[in-house]
Amino acid sequence: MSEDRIDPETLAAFLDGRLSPAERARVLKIVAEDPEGYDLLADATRLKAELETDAGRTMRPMVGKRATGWRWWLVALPAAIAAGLAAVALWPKTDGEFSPVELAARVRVVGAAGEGSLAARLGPTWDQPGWSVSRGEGEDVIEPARAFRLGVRATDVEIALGAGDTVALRPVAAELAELAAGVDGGAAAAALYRGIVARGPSTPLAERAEAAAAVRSLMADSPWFDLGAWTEAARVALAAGEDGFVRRSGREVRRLIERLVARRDGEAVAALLRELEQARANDQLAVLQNRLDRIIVAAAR
Amino acid sequence: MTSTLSSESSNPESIFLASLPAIDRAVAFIAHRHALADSDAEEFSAWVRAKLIEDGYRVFREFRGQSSLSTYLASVVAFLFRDYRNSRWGRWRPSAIAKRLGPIGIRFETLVYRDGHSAREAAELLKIAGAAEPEIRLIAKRIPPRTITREVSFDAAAEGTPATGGADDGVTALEAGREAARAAELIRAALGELPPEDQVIVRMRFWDDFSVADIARALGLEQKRLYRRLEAIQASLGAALIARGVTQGRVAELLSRDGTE
Repeated sequence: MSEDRIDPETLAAFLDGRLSPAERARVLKIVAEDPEGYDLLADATRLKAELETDAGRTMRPMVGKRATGWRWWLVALPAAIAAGLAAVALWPKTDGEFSPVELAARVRVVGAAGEGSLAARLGPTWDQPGWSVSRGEGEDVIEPARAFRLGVRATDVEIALGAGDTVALRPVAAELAELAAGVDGGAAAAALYRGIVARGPSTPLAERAEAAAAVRSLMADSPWFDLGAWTEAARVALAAGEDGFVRRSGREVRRLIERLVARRDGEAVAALLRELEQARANDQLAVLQNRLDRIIVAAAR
Repeated sequence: MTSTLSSESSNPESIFLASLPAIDRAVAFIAHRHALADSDAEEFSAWVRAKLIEDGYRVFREFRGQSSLSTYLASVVAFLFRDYRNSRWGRWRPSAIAKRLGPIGIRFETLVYRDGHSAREAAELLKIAGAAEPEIRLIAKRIPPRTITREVSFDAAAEGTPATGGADDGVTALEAGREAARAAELIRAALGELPPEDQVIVRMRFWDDFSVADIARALGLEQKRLYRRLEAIQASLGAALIARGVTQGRVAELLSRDGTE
């Protein structure tokens, strides 16, 4: 093997974390300096992840299917390819895929950031996902609805921050703080979010991620929190007419199903998620939207 | 898949046969990721199988067990795609912007800048394939102008100024191309000052849309620390670009995950 080339097995060993430090450094140098080397790393990384997903994946094979043509390829444009949004997502926990910061970064719905931009784009009820909000209800919401709503609002806070919309930020962060304060030990998390409201979009991402992590920990890393975070991102993306987010969420949906079926109180929603996943795999957006709405209603109450 | 790929079997043919579902899945995934037309995807699939069978299943005979078989197959298919693409289309690569626009963006750019179709012809071909006209129009505006012989992997990553009038607007495209080339050079210079691992992290994150979790897994890094590291890298890259005379607003554009206006 030459100094400036890598072979398939070396690259594979690199991805499996089995190379010596010296060999690893050599591979990194090659990948950093050679565009083709980098492309190999990128492709192999995605392929490795693909081959490691569940056997129940329903991706349609392209080979031999003349009739499908481009339908499977039709992925909505990323929402609002906007200037100046350097979205480095931060999530200090292991389930990075359900980080509200990460999820919101994938759902960019406004072109020009600023106050009122979300309402202008999505309508004045953009932040009303399907349950009624009344003052003082922070203490009355039971589990797992509380965890679910916290996940929803954590994502809403990030969406509002990403859109630079402090008008939208205030009510969703206020509801989040109220929900958090209704939990033992939640006062600190509530305070973090009040701080975020005070500083607005200039709040460092690391602090936003820590706040979201604090709320998630408050809910004992509940799958309901993650469900809330994901469904809200999906709901807002669909409201903005961007179905790419949901189309690419197969793995996340399957993870949620796995975690919810393990809970006695999760079976009904898991069943709806399975239907949603089937609709997603079959490109049935109307059905998918319907199941999403039903999941929100079922989980938030 | 892991249960059917027994590392105990020393018969390369048996391993190949047991691996076929995974191989087919990998091939389909690569074809989708690189927006191959159906005919090209079919041809690639057949080509991969032939290569894996070649020389008495040499690919499997030479497997040393330094990685899992699954990861090895992923790597092998990635290498085979590189070889196939180079043999078919030379050094052509889709731009980072086209990749971020998805399969339709890749396909449009490929039709126009690799295969030589006019933008109108490319649009018609995409419509026939089922793409919606509003999407095609939007994509056509955002794909940056380029020449067919241009090496693109890192140059294209910094092409943040698509031609405003679409691919057929000659004067605007020329100016946009020059601006993109300047931006590419600046990015390349700034990036080259980072350590190799940081360079790879930047590319994966900002131009290839990997999540932080995916990057951490691929490079064997601790996810929690990677967030802070990304912030530090971004600050460092931004400072390097400003030192080269780039305005702060332009830095934000170049370092945005889309890198487009």
